[in-house]
Amino acid sequence: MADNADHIDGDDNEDVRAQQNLIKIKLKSSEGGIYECGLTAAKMSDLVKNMVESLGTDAVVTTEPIILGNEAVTDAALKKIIEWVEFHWDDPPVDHDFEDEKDRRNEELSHWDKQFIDVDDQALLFDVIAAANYMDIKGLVEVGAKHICSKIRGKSCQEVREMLKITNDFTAEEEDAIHKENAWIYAKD
Amino acid sequence: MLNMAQQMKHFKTSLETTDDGNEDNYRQQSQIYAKDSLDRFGDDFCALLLSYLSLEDRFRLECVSKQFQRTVFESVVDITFSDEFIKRLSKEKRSAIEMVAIKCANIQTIDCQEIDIIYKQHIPEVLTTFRDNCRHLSDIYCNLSVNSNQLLPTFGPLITRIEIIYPKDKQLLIHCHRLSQLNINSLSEVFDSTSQLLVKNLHKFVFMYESTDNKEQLSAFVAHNQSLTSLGVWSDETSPEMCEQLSQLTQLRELRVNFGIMSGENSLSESLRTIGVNCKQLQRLSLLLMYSTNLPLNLKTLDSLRCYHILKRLRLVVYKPIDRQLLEPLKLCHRLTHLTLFLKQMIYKLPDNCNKHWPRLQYLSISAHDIHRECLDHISRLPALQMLIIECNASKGNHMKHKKTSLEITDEGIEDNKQQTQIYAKNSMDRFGDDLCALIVSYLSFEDRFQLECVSKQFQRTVFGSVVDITLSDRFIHKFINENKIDTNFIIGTLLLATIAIKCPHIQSIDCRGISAEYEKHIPEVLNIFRDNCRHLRQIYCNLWPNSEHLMYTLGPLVTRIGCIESMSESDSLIHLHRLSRLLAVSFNDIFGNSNDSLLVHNLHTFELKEYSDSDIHRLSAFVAQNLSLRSVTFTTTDTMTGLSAQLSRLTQLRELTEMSDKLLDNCEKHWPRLQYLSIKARIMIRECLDRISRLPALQMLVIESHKL
Repeated sequence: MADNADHIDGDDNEDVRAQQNLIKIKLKSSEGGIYECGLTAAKMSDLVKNMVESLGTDAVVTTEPIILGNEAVTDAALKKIIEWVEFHWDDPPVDHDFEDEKDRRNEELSHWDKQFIDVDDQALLFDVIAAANYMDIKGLVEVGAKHICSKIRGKSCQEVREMLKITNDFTAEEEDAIHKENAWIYAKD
Repeated sequence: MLNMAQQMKHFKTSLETTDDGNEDNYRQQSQIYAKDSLDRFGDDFCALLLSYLSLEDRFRLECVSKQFQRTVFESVVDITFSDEFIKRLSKEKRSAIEMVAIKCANIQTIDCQEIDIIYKQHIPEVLTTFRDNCRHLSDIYCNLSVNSNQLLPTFGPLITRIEIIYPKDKQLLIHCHRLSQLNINSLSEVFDSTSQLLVKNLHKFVFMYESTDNKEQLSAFVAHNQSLTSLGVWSDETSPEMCEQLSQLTQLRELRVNFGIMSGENSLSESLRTIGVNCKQLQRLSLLLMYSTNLPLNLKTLDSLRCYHILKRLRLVVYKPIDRQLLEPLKLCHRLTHLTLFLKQMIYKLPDNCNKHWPRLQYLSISAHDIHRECLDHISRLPALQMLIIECNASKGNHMKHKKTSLEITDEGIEDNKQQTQIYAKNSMDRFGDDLCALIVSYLSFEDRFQLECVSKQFQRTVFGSVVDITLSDRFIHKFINENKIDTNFIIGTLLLATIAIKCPHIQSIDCRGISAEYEKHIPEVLNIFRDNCRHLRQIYCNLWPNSEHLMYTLGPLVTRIGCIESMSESDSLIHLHRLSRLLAVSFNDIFGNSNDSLLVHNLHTFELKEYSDSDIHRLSAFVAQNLSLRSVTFTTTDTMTGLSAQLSRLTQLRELTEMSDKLLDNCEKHWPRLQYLSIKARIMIRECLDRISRLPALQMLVIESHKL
């Protein structure tokens, strides 16, 4: 009996999530743009989730939009982020009984995520990642991080600097010293 | 202007904070960074981004910037030692290993289970260095084998996983108080000589159980390992007593059982029920049933799966023809997300309405002899399916229909499924993807490809991709002349040729050495068409025929092989062939300029001379000096070869030497250390000569043509 009740609960939960996603709330970017997003999807952001919980769902739905003040949350970035959460909100939850943290880290991105994150405009890409971090959307930050790491895999330091526009603040001597320390990484048989 | 400047420049945002936001950040970090530069991120966030790099990449990228240096090792919390890693580190001084350990100070877990036995000796030293420098180190995964004696007393308290252990080492387990994962062969391996249990409070355990095994041992083990969440059991038969014991492990989340079934199955059904009723947390079940022959199948066997309400993943392998009814109980497993079925000789029919019963099923893998169309219908309706694998292994029967496998569906699920439900017969080439198809048709001849182009769209896409070198024949050229019979000038069907060249864009080399004098005049036009359409073309093999001078002037840089020089007057155009590597000449007159007697060819790899005479010795010297790169040389001569020896000995790169005289072999092993092929003409082979040959260090093939006058 207990098991049955539990079971029904689970299905109910899923229905509730689907129902709630039909409720639209408004999110406001740092540039002032206001965008609609399903409630369940928006709550993938822990920042939004906490705000909704402290204000109460009704208040959020009827009153002012939720303001996302961080400058990385531009209009374009927020649009991308909403696209991502609207696609992923019904993902199965993480199963804590099985320690899959390491597996998940090593898992390749899905085809959809790869296409989603493959943004030509690097400024926008960084905005999306930074905004996802500000809004505390762990899954999306992971997608961004995996994307960047896959792009710099196997590249030389100089290539990485050029690609990610990183200023080299080492002196030549400092750089040499590090190379020497790490020489074993390049060693051949 | 202002707007643009705002867009371009941005303040560094240390984005850890979710609270106050702007003001603090702006004041502290007034330095301005471009928005598309990684420099805009603070250390914490940078460390998070870089946490997906491999260990090797981290070391390589450490000196990208000071920020990288500060952050790139921050997130290294677990490392898996590979053979390569240990091999490299073991060659370094201790200080180098120390440096790695100091840089990766946050390491908590070290996995050295994969290390090959030959590198095991280095493990204690490396582990010691890491333990001394990484104060968070708390978990070591390893196998017990050589030098376990050395390893365990010191590292025992840190070891939490062991995959392989030799029975003779079992006493060492007493050092591993915190062990949580262990694989063993027999339960006796975890009991010492006085029957004391050596391991307690494990979380994950794999063992083999034989019906003759000591029941008390199992009972004692279960009593002291109530914490188990994952268990794997291999057993030769289903023993109700054993299952009774296992059912007391109420914390189990994952159970893998491989059972042999020797007698009636009622006990199996009963045993499964006992486990299902008691282990209420069980979410993953893998059931492999091996039947001894001729045992009838009991339709109720899997009935007890009804008790496994919260099962999320089920893997079912049954080596026995089974009936569809057997799967009916699975209808009640509403929470299934992953289902793997490997059922022998079953006509697959999933339960009707499985889309209703399994609303969350995202992974379905089926291996079977035949898939019923109706079954595919059911599958296509599963609402949450993301990954579908169908493996068919029918060995006979043409009617078998098969689905393309490995359908990675990452987006819409059902819709995609429908697209890919197209069915291919196993004996149809349509089942192959383009890559495999291209590989298969790459063995076709050039002409066959054109004939087969319209076999299918897939053929059209793939049949020309692998054309990289073509050999032009008289017949080939003749065809294009015929196409244009109306034109009495025999102008080649230019358009048609261009079509061919466009279809074969990957052509790299064209061989037209076999074209006879009658058709030679068409070669320039043909080559020009290919050159214009095949941008990978970089090698042309041809002959120098009368009036080829103009062609050599334009295509010379592409010509790498010359088959023969048909007319002495043409040899001057050799000067245009900078990349020529292979040449066949009649006499030295061919390769020395007609006007000033200067050498026309340099840096050849293969050279063949039909007529060498002793009077050529000065030219030979000049030729050798400019062609020290020669790897293969053939000289045909009837003369005495005086002086030839001295010149040839300068060619230290030689791999092949043909038509050699036995007189030229003095010190051959010194001159030609790389010589692999040697062909000699001699009247009588003398012993001394064979002696010399035997000293050639790289020789692989020797041909001796001996003939008495």
